[in-house]
Amino acid sequence: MASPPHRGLKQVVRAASAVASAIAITDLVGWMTGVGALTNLLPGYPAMNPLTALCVVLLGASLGILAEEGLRLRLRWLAQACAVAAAGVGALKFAALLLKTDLPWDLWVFGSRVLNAPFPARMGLHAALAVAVVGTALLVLDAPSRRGFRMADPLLFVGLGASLTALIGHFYSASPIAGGMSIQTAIAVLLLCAAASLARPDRGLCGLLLSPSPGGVMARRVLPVAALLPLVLGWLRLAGQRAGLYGLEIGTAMLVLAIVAVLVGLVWVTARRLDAADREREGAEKALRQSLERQGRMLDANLIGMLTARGTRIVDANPAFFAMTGYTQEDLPLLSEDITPPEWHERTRRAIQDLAERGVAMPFEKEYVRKDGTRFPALVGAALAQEGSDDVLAFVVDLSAKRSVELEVERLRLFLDSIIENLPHMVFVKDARDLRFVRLNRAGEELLGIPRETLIGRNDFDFFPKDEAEFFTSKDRAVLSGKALLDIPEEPIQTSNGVRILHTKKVPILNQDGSPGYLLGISEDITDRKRIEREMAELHEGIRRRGVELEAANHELEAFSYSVSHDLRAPLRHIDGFSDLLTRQSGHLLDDKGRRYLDAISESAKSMGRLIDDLLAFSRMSRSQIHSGPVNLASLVAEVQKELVLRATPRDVEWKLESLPAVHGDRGMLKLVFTNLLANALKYSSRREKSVIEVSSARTEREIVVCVRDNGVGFDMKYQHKLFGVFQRLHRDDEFEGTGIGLATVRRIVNRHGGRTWAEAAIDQGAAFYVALPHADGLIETKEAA
Amino acid sequence: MIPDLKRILLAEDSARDVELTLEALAEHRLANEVVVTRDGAEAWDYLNCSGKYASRPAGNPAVVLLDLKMPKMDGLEVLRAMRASEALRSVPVVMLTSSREERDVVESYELGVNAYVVKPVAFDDFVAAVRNLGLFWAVLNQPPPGSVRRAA
Repeated sequence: MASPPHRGLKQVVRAASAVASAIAITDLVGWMTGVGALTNLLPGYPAMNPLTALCVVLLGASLGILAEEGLRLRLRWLAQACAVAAAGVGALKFAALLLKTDLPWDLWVFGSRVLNAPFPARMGLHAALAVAVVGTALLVLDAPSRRGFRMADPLLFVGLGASLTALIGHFYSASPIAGGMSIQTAIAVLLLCAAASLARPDRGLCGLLLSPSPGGVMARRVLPVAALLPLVLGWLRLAGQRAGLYGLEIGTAMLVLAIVAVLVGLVWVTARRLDAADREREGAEKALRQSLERQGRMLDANLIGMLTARGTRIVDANPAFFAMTGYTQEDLPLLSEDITPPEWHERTRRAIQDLAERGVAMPFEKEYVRKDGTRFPALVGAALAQEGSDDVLAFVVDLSAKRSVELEVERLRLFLDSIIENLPHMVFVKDARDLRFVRLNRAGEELLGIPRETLIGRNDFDFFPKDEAEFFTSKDRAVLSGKALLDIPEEPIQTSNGVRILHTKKVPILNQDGSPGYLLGISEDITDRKRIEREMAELHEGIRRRGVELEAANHELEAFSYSVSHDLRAPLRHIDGFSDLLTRQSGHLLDDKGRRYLDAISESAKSMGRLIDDLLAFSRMSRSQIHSGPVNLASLVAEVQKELVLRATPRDVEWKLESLPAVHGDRGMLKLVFTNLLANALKYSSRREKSVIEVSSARTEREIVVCVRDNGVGFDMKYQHKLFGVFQRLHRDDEFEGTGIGLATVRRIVNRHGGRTWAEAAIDQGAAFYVALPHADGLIETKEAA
Repeated sequence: MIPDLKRILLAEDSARDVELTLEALAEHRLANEVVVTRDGAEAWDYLNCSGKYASRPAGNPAVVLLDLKMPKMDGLEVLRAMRASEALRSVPVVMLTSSREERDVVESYELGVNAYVVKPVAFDDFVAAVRNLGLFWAVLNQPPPGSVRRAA
């Protein structure tokens, strides 16, 4: 790639070739037209031979082509042809002149004019040599150089020497030195030589002249002076002497003195400059060496793994790399893909591509496989050692420690996240500055009906009615400024699921400097609890009211039965008493019918008295408290049986009393139950020749079931629903007497014990009455209004 | 008429009960020993020789038969007042009543009643009960000093 100075050089080359060609063409025109001034610039000096001019034109064209990179590619053959033609002509003419053989090519076309010219115009030895060497130099201009030496250079020196010799010869009027070369020819050749050298400025003499090296600096500084100084001073000396200012000796002495002075001064200045430059260079070298040493130490310190590779082949690595991979020097070369897990191949391939395209692969994270098969994460970066090569320098940093810390941090984060996410209460976090939501858990999303993506980054005013949002915000501010927890026992909030009641705790989260950073809120949805509490309160109020009513009713009932027991019995007593007195005092005045009527009156009164007594007993029993305790059923039933036997008229009864369990209940009441049941069994089996009464029990999962069975008259099951009702009877009084209160009492008592009663029977097939009592632990006294 | 001093004080508001009671006592010839008052207040006057009984001869009855439910002062009130009175504290009291109510029975005994009799509906039973009462309290029992003794 041509740098700007080189581009400038190209212009110079182009101009020089053009000027040289122009000189030659002018000369040719002069020969053609016979205008001597064009062929011979200064009278008395030789003219430019037309053949020389033609050769110069050919050389100028060749050089012009070679100077143009674009043209050079396509017209190289033409440039070469021109150069060969000129070189051949020059070489042959030179050889002929050396051999003193006349080769009259230089008389070509314009022979007579050349021969008849008033000045020498034949092609001389210098010109032939110059044309030959310059042509040859152009031919080999692009030949490869060896160690900075190129073949064209000595040839160009010869050409340069020939032209300078001619010029100096003319300058000092020393014609023999000029060798018959005209001034134009000398200038043209000089230009061509310089241009040819400059056409390839990166090589040879010109390369040295243009280089920034000390050699180049010295060449640039000294060469022009060394070439021009003697020329000018010599001319001055000669001119002075000719003018008679001084003699030969003094002139020569002055010339030498001047040359010595100028050269010494020049060398001294140049040497000082070079010395300073060299010192500077040494300093730079030292700095570079130190820098390299530091880098070397860095590598040797084994802080990071370093490796060099050709392509993907690792050919060298430092101990740190071996330590982290488990490989050793003997395992080299290693292929990068062999120590990279498959899933990282693609990323590695991209890095290699970057390396090829840009010369560097920016550091990236990947994994390596150790020799033992385990993996480790690493940071890798690489650069090409040289542009265009496949020498790669790479560093590898083991990230295991960092990764394990990252994993631990990640694990902790996930742990905390899952706690927050799984909390059954709403958890939210707002930033302290403008109270925007930064966090919301799943329970919160469900409660508010707002997905967290929508909520986060916004504040209460975006979601809630203005007064609600203001309430929340004022509480938030209070918490943050007070830096203390705030408990809001009841907080209504508008959600997409309607108004919910929250119990919220707000906690300030302070920064390390004590300023508020965040506001943490935890809200429990207590809407349902509140509703249940309200319902419970209403229920309790209802129960309390009902209890009050019940108590009042009980009082009334008590008063009622109290007055019944006093006031209803008195008239009965009077009926019976006076009918009895009537019988005693006036019985003999009555006939049988009249006495029977009095008996009926008395009997009815007594019967009603019993009904009242039974009803009062039933009512009293319903209202009296149950005094629960363990009750031995076996002894209780035996006791009842004994009492009944004492009271009853003696008859044939077979009692089958199985062993009965203990139950939990009020002994007095249970005794009433079995007294009624056994008395019934006796009563309804009294018409059998022999009563068979059986008491048995069975235990179920929840109850103890006692069965009292008799072989009596039984009953029709279709009336069983009436059996346990108050004053309900299935038999007429004249069949079996009774008030119809016994089984009602049984059922009432058993119900109050949390048990059940039922009966099974068929007409004339006997009856079975069942009493089921719950086990002690399951006993619940069912409250019943009397 | 100057009321006689009798050994049995009966307090009963029901005329029929009075008649039946007297009838029952008559069977054992105790009817003449009975002073009948028709409510508690009257019985209290008799016991304290006040009101219409201000001029009666001094002395306490051998036994007081009290109905429970009476106008003005009921049986329990009379009993309570008697037990509070120095003079009447030791006079035997029998509660004669229609009621089987437990609380009446309990309260009576707490106030220091000597017997509690539920008047049976059947007249035979009633006669038997009154006879027993009369015999025991008016005849067999040794009354406290100051009580009227049976005329020999």
